[in-house]
Amino acid sequence: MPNMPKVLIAEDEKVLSKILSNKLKRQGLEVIQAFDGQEAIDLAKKHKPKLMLVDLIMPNKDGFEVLTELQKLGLNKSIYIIIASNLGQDADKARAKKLGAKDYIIKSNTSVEEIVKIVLSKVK
Amino acid sequence: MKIRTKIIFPIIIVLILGTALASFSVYYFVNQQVEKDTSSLLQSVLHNHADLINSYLQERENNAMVFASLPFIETAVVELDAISKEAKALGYQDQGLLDYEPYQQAVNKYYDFVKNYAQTYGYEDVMLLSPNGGRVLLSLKKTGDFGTELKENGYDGTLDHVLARAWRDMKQTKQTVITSFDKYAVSDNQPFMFIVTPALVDDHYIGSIALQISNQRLNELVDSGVGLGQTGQTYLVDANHSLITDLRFEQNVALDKKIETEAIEHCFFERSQVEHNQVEIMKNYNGVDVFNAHHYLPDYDWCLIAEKSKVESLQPLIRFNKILVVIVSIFVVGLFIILLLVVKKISQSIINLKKGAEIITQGDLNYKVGTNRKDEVGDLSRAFDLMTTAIKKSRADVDSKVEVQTKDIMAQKKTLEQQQQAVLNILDDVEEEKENVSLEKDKIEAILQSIGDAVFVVDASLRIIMVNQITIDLCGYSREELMNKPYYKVLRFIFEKDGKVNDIFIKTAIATGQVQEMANHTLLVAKDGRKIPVADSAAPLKNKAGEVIGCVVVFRDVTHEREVDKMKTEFVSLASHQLQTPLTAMRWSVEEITGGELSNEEKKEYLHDTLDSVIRLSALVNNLLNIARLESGRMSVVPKPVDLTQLIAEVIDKNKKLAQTSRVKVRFFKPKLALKKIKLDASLITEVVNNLLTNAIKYSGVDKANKEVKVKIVTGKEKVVVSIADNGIGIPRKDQKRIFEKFYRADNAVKKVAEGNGLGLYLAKMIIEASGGELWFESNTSGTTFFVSLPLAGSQAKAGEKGLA
Repeated sequence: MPNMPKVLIAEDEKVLSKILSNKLKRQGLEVIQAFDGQEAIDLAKKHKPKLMLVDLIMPNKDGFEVLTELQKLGLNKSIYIIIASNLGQDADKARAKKLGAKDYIIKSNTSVEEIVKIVLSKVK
Repeated sequence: MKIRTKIIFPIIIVLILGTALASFSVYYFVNQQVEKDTSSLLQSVLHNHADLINSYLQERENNAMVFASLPFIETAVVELDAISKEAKALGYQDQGLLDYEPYQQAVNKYYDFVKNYAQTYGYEDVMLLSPNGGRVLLSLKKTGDFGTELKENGYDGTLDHVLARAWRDMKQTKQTVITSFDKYAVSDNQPFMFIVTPALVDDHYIGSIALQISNQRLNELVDSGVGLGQTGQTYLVDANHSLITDLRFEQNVALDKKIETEAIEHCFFERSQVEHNQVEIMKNYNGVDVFNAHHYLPDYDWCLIAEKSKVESLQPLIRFNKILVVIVSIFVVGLFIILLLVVKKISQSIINLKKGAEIITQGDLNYKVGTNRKDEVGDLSRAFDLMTTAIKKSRADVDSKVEVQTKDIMAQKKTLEQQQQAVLNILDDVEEEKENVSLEKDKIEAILQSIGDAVFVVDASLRIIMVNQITIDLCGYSREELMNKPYYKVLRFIFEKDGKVNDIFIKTAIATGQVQEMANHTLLVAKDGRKIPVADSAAPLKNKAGEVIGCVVVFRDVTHEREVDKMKTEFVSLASHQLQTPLTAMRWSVEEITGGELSNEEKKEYLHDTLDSVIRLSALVNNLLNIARLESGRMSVVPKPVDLTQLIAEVIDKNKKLAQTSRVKVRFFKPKLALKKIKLDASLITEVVNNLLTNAIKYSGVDKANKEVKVKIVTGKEKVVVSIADNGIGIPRKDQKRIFEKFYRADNAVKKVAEGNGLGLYLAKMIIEASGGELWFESNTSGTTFFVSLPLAGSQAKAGEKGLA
C-alpha cells in the first residue's frame, strides 16, 4: 500500500509499540516502528511520515532531543508530532509544545481506541 | 624643677626675647635708613646728570642756530648752490663736483672758516646743505658726502638715513631737528647724532646746516662714577633700548648693547610721568641685584639710568650687624653670669631653711636655722625658728587633748562594730538571695543551650540579651559580636524571593503580644554571606504584669528538610512513571483482547504480554515495599546456615535464559576449598545476587562481541567477598557517587538499556548493610565489578514485621 499515510511510532516499550502498531495497521495505515530516539530521527528522515507518536523517556535520545533534532531538520513542519508519554507535568507539556509538538497524550489516561481516533483524524 | 632654674629660666627667656626684639628694631631702622640714603643718592646723581645732558644739548642747539644765522652762511650757501647747479648742468655728479674748478675754488674759500668753527666746538663734521634738494654743498670730509642729495637719497643712500630723515623733518617744519645716535658709515661706523638747523634770512629759508656730534661728551657727562661708590654707574639708553653711552666697566659698547631690563621697561612705559622718585631693587642687564633709579629725557626720547649694586649699598648694614651681634652676645653672657651669682646666694638660704625643716620634721624641735642675713630670706629664717619654738609649746597641749579624744573614739568604734555586725548579717541574706537568682539564670541558660533549635532573646529595643550555641554556630558570629547588639544588625533574616529584609515577625510579636511564625522561605544571612534557609517563630516575652518586654525567637536550619522534600517529590514523580508504564501495557492489551478485533492467536500473545507486565509491576511493587520496610527498619532478618556457593549457582542457573538471549557468557569461579555454611537470610542474599547478576548481564559488553560476566568467591579470615564483574560500558565518573540513590540510573545506562527502575542497587545496598556486610564497586570504561562482602560469622538476627516481599 504505497499510497497510504505513513505513521512513525517512537516507543521503547515493545508491548505498547506493538499494540499501537497492530491497531493502526488494521486501520490501513503504513506504520514504522522506532525503539529509541536516534532510530526515530533516522526513520523520520528516511520515510518522511505524515504523523509521529513520540514517547518522552527513551534510550539513546529522549523525546525532547528527538523534537529538537526534528526542529533543526525542519521536519516538524511537515510531520504532525504527537507526544505519547506517561510524564504528565505541565512543565513537560509546555516544553514539548515549544519544541514543535502539536498534541500531548498521557498514555495511562488514554485508551488505544482514543489514540487511534486522534491519529486518524490528523492523517486523513 | 629647682628654684634656681625656676628663677633663671624665665629671666633668660625675657632677656633673650627683649634683646632679639631690640636688635631687630635697630636692624630694621638702620636698614630703612640705608635704603633711604641710597635712594636719595641715586636720585640726586640722576637729576644732576640729566640737567648736565639737557643743558649740553641745549647749548649745542643754540650754537647751531647762531651759526646758521651768520651772514657768512647765507653767502656761502647761495654761492655754492649756484655753482653746484652749474657743475651739474655740465655733468659733474656727487663727489665729482670737486673736479669742477670753480666749485673747488668756492669750497676752498669757505672751508677753513667752517673747519675752524667745528674744531672750536668739537664737532665731527659741519655740513652746508642746499635749500631744496638737500645737496651737501660743503663737508669737512672731502671724500664723503659732497653732492649727495638728501632729498633723493632716502633711507638706503650713501648718507646715513638719520641725517636724511632729520633734513626732511627740518625742511617741512623749518625748525631745528636733533636726531638720536646712530652708526654713521662715513665715520667708521661710530655712533653720532646730528643737529640740522635751517638758515633763515628775514624768516626766508635759504638752506641749512648740519652738525655731526659724537657721543664722547655725553660719555664724559654720564660716565663719572662720582658719588656712586665702587659699583654705581649711570648710562643713557635710546628708544630702541640700545645703549648710547658707554658703561662704567665696558667701553665702546654704545649702540652695540641692548639693555632689556625691568627698569628700562618702566622708564619708557612711564614716558609721560617724567618725575619718578621711587628707587627699587631690580636686576640689571647683568642679572645683578641693584638699587635702580631712572629718568626720562622727553626732548630726545632717551632714558637715563642710575644704579648701584645692592651688596655694596647694604655694606654698612652688614658691618653694623656684626657689631650688633658681638655687643648683644657680650651683654647676654654678662647678664647671665650676674644672674647666676645672685640666684645662687638667694637659693643657699632657702636650702638652709629646707634642711632645717627636714630635721624638725624628723622630730628635733630644738634645731635652729639661725642666720644674720638682713633681707626677706633672713626674716623668713628667723620667723621659721620662732615657729619651731611655738610648735614645741603647743605640742604638749595637743598631746593631752589627743588622749581624751582617743578615749571617745574607742567608745564610738565599739558601737560601730556592733552596727557593722548587723549589716553583715543582712548582707549574708542578700548574698543568699543573689545566689538563688544566679542559679535560676544558670538554669535558663542551660535550658537554652540544650535546645536543639537556634534560640535568641531580644529586649523591647530589639537588642539581643540571650543567645544559644546553635544560633552562634548557624550565623557564624561570636557571642561577643551578638550580645547587646540590635538583632537586625547581625542576624539578618531576608525573604528568599526578593532578598528584602524580613523583620516583620519579630516586630509584630512585640507590638501585638502574639506568637508570630516566620514567613515561609526565609533565609538567614550568616557572617560569611552564606544564606541558610530557616523556619520558625517569634514569641513575645511578657513580665508579670503582662507587658511585652522582649521577644524569644526560635528558628532552625531547614536545609536538610528542603533536600528531603525535593527528594520526595522526585521519588513520587519517578515512581509514578515506573508504575504507569506496565499499567498502560496491561490496559491496552486488555482493551484489545476485549475489543474483538483480534484473532485467537493474537489474543493469546496479548495475554502473555499482559502477564509479563503484571510480573514486572509486581516486582516493582515488591521492591518498593521492601524499600519502605528497610527504610523504616521493619524488615526482619532471619539468618540460617546457607551454602553461599550453591545459592549463587542457583541464581546463575535461574538467569541462564536471560544470559542466552543477551548472548552473554556467565563464568562462575568457585572457591577451591568448599565454603562452610554461613548464617545468612537466604532470601535477602538471593535478591541481592540476582540483582547484581541481571545488571551485569544487561549492561555487559553491549557493543562487544565477547560479552562475559565473571562471578568469583574469595574467602578471607573474617569475610567472604563475592565479586560480579562485567566487561560492559562502565559507570561514568560523574554518576558513580549517585548510583546507590533511589531511582537513580546512570546516563549511559538509560541510553543503552531503557528498562530498569533504578531501585535495584539501592535495595541491594540496604539489604547487605542490614545483613552486616558491605557493597561497593570498581568501574572504568572497560567494565564494572561489584563486590559484596559478608561476615563469615553470619548476619545478626533482626526481628521485624515482614520478610522480603
